[in-house]
Amino acid sequence: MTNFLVKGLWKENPIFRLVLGICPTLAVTTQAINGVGMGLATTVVLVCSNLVISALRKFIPPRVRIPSFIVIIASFVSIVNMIMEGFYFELHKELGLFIPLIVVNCIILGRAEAFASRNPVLSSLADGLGMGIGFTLSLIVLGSIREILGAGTILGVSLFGEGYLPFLIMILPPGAFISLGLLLGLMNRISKERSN
Amino acid sequence: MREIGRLVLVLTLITLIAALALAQTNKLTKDRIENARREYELRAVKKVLLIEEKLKELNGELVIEKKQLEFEETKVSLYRGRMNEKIFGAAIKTAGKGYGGDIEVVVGLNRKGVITKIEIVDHKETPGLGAKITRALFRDQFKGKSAKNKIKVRKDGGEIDAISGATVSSRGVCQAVEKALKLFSEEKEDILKGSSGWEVLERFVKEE
Amino acid sequence: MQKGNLQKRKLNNQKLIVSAPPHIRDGLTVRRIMWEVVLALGPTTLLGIYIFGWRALTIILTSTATAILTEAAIQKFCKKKVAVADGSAALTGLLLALNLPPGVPLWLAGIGGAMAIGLGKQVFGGLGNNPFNPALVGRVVLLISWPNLMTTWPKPTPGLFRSVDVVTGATPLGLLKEGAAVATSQVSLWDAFWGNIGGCIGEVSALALLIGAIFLFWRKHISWHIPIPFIATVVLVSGIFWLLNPAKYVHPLFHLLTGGLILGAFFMATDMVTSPVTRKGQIIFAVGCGLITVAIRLFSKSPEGVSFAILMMNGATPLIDRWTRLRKFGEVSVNA
Repeated sequence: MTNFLVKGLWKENPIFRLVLGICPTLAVTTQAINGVGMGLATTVVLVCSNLVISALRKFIPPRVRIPSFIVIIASFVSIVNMIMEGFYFELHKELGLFIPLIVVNCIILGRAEAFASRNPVLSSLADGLGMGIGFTLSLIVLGSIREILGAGTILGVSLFGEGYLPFLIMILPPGAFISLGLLLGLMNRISKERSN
Repeated sequence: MREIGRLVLVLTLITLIAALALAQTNKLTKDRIENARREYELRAVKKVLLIEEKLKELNGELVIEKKQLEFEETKVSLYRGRMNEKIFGAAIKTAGKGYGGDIEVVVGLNRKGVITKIEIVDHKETPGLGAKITRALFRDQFKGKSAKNKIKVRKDGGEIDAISGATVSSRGVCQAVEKALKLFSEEKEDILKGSSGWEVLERFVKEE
Repeated sequence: MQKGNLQKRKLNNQKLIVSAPPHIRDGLTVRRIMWEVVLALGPTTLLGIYIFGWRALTIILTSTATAILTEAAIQKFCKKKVAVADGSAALTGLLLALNLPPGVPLWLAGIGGAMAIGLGKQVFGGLGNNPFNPALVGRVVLLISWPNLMTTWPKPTPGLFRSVDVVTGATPLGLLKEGAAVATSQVSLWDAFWGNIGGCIGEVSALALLIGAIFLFWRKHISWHIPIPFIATVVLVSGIFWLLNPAKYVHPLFHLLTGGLILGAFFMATDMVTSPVTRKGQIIFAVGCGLITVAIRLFSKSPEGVSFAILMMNGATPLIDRWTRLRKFGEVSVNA
């Protein structure tokens, strides 16, 4: 059980190892706080959809499993979207564009198809939670790097004082690709050296 | 045949339950969302109308009203503040073209058409560069200006100091403010005296 | 111009068909070509230092040194042979410095050198594998990150090693954004030809650049297929606009002599690694560069477009190579 929970953090980390869910990753990681919001929203959807899909796995015939998964995932996304707009309006304004996109985030359908539809409820819950946390942490790491370099702040707090001239490209779209690419390379190298 | 029946049944059940869950959430959050949206829109309007200061001296009733109209082929929101039946100011939401897209500005004006304050509500300018238009240092330049002034950056022969390296963004703000001033002079009658089409957004009452 | 020239010449002589780059090269020859190109940039470099003072020299040294150090560090980190003596990193660093405004702080030149080699070259696997011109990658990273610093132009103050009181001027192309009349009244074409105008360290003097270019032609490191169509396209298209509306658009000679056109056309668009292999492809590449340059100069918010034009066409190079690949005699298309 712990294995299911932990594997999302490193061994099967959705962003850095499986390279899933890259679209929201590139788009929202301009600052660390966005990573927290987007990551938690995705985690909630992921845990709920894994839970429901796992519970219904014997009830849903294989031939209609994809439409069923999509309906379930889309409903949870809409629910999260509404709750977020109602209760965390500021955060929603920042992320609003990307929340509906959680529906097509490959991580969620991927876990539904590859894990939840084949495993019991508790394992699926652990899997969803682990993957969600792995996703959230990756977003925060990426968001922090980009925010520190590109804006000179972390979680909105200024780090280097007024005189710092930020490395702007890092919070612009090219910076997303550059930092994700370099981190991917670094992670590959680390795990290669580990396995040797 | 039996299998198809089962497929239909399962999918129907799942969508039905999903619809119910969505309807329930919608019911629970609808009012909150509407409030939050209105609150957000109103926040900038309240700031430029200097509502906080007005409330301190308020004796009687203060109302914020809204009207929407077409101006130069775009939808514009007009707001006005009324204290004890007298209009004391207006706020106009317009947009100018920035570097990264439209810059939405709320411009506050007093009865004579002099700018009291401006707020940037929405923009997509480069962070750390064009995004500096939201800083008070830049926005405060517009205070006290009216249609008599040249609301343009110095480069274009106006009176506004552009943010260095972000002339296009600064120009966008000027463009929006100019538009608001033009709209005010054209709609002055309606803003100061008109009554049709104005809807009440918020009402404060205080009696001593 | 930079890399793989020898292979290309040999292959052309033998009428062989070359695949798209990268090609395997002989290290020693690459080395000679690189240093000869550095030599060709000599007049421009010296004139840049003369015009803009010791500050320009320190910028050139910083940028070149960080480029070499970054190359060595990454090659070491990746456990490759450290091959900085081939001169390619030094050339990248020098080209980058020549593309910087003469007043930039030294840390900016340093980051630029590191970015040019790190992001522009080594990240793709080093010499011969980079899809984009490394010096231009460095310049564009800086331009996007610090647009203020990268568009502040000290006035030229000729005289060797004088202290620089930075008087901010404008580049001729910057003036152009305020109207053709403003620009032509303030900039004389003679000044632009000699180099007495505002601009990047290495782009101000058309004369010094042409001397270097003639040297490269003589040594056969470049052919006419890229620089000439590139420049001709810019002159022709800007000329058409000028004829249509001389009040709004400026004389094509102005476009020719100001900005980074000559530097870009002779020394950067001609980079063998990042430009097409066939002659037909090179001409298409060059015309594309010219069109994009004019489009950016005339219709965008940014005054200068040479670097962006070359980078975009670098991106299109693999495609152009596919279109223009020569058929083997008697070869039949697979689909036919």
